Amino acid sequence: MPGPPAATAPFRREWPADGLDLDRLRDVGWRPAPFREFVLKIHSRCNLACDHCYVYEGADQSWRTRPRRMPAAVVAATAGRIAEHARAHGLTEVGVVLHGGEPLLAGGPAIGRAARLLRAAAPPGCRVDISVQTNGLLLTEPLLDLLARHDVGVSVSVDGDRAAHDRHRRHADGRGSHAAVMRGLSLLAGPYRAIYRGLLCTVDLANDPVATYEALLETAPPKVDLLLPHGTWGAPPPGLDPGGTGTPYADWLAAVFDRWYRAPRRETGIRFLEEIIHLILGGRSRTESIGLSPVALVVVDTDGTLQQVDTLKTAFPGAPETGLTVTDHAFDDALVHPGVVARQIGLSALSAACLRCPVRDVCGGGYYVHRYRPGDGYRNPSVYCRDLRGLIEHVSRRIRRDLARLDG
Amino acid sequence: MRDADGEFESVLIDVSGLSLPELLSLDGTVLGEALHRIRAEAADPREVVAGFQSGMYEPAG
Repeated sequence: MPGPPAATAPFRREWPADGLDLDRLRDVGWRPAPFREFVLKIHSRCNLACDHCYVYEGADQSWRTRPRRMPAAVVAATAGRIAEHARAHGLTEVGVVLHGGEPLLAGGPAIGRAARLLRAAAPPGCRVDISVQTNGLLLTEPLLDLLARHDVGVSVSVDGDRAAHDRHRRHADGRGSHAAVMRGLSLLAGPYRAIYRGLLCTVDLANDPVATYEALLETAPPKVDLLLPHGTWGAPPPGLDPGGTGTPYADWLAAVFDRWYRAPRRETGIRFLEEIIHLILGGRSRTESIGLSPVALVVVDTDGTLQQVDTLKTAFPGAPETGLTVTDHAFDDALVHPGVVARQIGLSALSAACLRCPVRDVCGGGYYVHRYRPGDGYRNPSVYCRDLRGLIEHVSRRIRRDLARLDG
Repeated sequence: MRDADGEFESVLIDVSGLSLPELLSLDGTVLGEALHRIRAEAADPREVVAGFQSGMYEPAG
């Protein structure tokens, strides 16, 4: 394993860039988990202008200077690097998420070429799962035919019913996008159901939680996820007063939980809530949103730069950068970047307050970017701390009560 | 979450003692699915890693 990468990314005297001791971690036997998931920014622009988008509305505005499309040479270099990484670590499966901006703006032919290239480069015995995360506006029959032919899974960003969705997900001229998204989504959920992966919904306290969940059920998605809006201690999420006593997001999510959990037959999966249940039962999380599992993903931007994760754009300009590029560096080089290491070391990354907390093994400190406090970095409780604890305790109480009834 | 004595009660729940009929009685529910998943994970020693929240990739294994 090589040493730490050259620090061409912005350096701030904040943890983990300042203070994470890689040598000490190695001395006590820590080894990085290889990347299993590669997020490719194949198009950096979008055909919507959502006011809650972390890519365009965050502190980092680097999208303005990046190429619109990922050039074919960067796609080819990425395919080669993924194959190199899979071979080096004996991986039998990797996931590739085509992302943006709006990735479908790259066009069907470019997506088809990328899918072929990524799979052709992979070593024997390594399956390459490819999916695209889209706003759904460009989901037409010809494009879905192409995606199905290339076995590219599709998940769509939808925020609930029309009023909820159009509150933020608007065109640049202010028109809502719900009707157009639902047209594409009905195709995906109908004849193209085999490639339908699910829905991502950003929580908005202005929307009714149960109505939002029930609107998401309209196309019978195999899974949905409820994403907390991004924020930090320096720029708290909407409606959250970090110094107050309320738990508005826990209350919202608990209402969804109760509606979803009470259904006599499971209607769909809700990833965030399922992961919380799984952690409460002693399992290990598969999402970076919660829990202590090592985060094993890396982002390749349109210009070939490697990033820790794009949601860090919320924290400060340059926050996601590693100073590495896919053309000049192996993914193994990124595995020793302090920001990547910090998300793979479990309890060692948590603040003293988190280590004393009775829900720490479930919460895991919450989502990494939500821990950021300007001046000292990411070794803090989540700005959602009270909400996470309230929600986890709510879920735990409910499950404990139901299991007690079984003993009965 | 405090118990009757005001002590913090763990939010973690041990389900290793559940019987098969108890599990089957929950089939098809959210909790039933969760219990199947935890048993499957316990039987599989492979490392579990966390993935991207802004996408929907789930490893097949």
